[in-house]
Amino acid sequence: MDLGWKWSKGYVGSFRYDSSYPTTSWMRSAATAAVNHISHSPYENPDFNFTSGSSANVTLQFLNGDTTSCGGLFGWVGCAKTTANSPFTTWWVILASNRCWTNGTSSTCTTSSRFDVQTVTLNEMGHVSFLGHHVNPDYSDAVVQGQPVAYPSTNWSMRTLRQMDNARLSTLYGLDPCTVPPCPLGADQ
Amino acid sequence: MRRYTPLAILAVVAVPIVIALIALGAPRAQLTYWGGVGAVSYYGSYPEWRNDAVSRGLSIAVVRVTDVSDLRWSTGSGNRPGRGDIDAVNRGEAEFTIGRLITVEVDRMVDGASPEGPYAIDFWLPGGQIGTDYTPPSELFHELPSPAVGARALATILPSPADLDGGSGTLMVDVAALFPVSGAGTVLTPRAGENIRVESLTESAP
Repeated sequence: MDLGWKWSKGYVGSFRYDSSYPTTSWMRSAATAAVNHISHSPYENPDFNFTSGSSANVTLQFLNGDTTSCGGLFGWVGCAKTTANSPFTTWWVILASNRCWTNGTSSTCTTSSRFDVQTVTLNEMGHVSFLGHHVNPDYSDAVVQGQPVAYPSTNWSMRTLRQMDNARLSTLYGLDPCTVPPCPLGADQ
Repeated sequence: MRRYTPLAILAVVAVPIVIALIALGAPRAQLTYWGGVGAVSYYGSYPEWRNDAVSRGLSIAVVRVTDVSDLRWSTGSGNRPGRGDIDAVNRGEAEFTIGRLITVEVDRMVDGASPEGPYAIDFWLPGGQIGTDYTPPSELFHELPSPAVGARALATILPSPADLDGGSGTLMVDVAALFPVSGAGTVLTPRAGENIRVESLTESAP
């Protein structure tokens, strides 16, 4: 994915939940863990810290996936989208409210096809850092994929960045001064 | 001494610069991307997809493609979004893409109720470039053959038509997904190697 723009190295921004996102603690914990994971990677991709304010660089939403709010597709599971024009410093990361979500222990429904909150959120946050979907099967070892598998299929949980994700972050942003992952909060700023 | 107007001066100065840029290979215009830049769609297998669609209230039908539009915008007019619509995109309140409108007719129902309203229904296939505006192809459909007029396809149909235009226009679509059927009668799905025969799909009860 190349929008002809990327975050400045070491950018520190914010993320928030809007009123559509469930207040369920395990859902927010899982999503926050995903944001923190990519924020504090050993690369100088942007860091997003939580804010309870009414505006942020990244707003997490929970909207119906059978609407056209994400690229004209129906039935989407997750989505990351930004503004029409650069600078692309405002994003919306959306999980589909009509899907079943889990953190591996709790879930929002009892159906067999469940999507992992942390995995899909990490996928979408990868797009915020300008990672593209890896359509080459050789790159299947990547969180940023077009088609996540549903729980309890194998590899249902990909809650950490993989080799190809990291390689792309390294290319785009370079190594963080904190070179021994995982970098602690604030150490990479 | 000959006097030059400002316009003439501009022409004298600018034209050689433009020619020089062309000669040197001027940088290509930057593309503007439109559409969800990271939409995750899910397709595990046909049985999963079918069950998922039915559980979401969608119908499934074998259809025949009757028209494929030229590349256009997902606005009611088909033209580029206006200033107000772009402002809505920048507030996260609207979404516009470039793609093709695929018109189909229902051949036979496989699951669920027949679509209401007109016999011809539409599917929006995102992806394409108009000028310097670009929408990436859909993850779900990008490896499938493009729908061709006269060809059959398997479609999921929305319970009621939806307005694809996120702004001030109206572009109603009825089909959520469209998987082409090969000449040999195989449904081509995002999962390579699936052997779904269109003739063996169970017809829904009337």
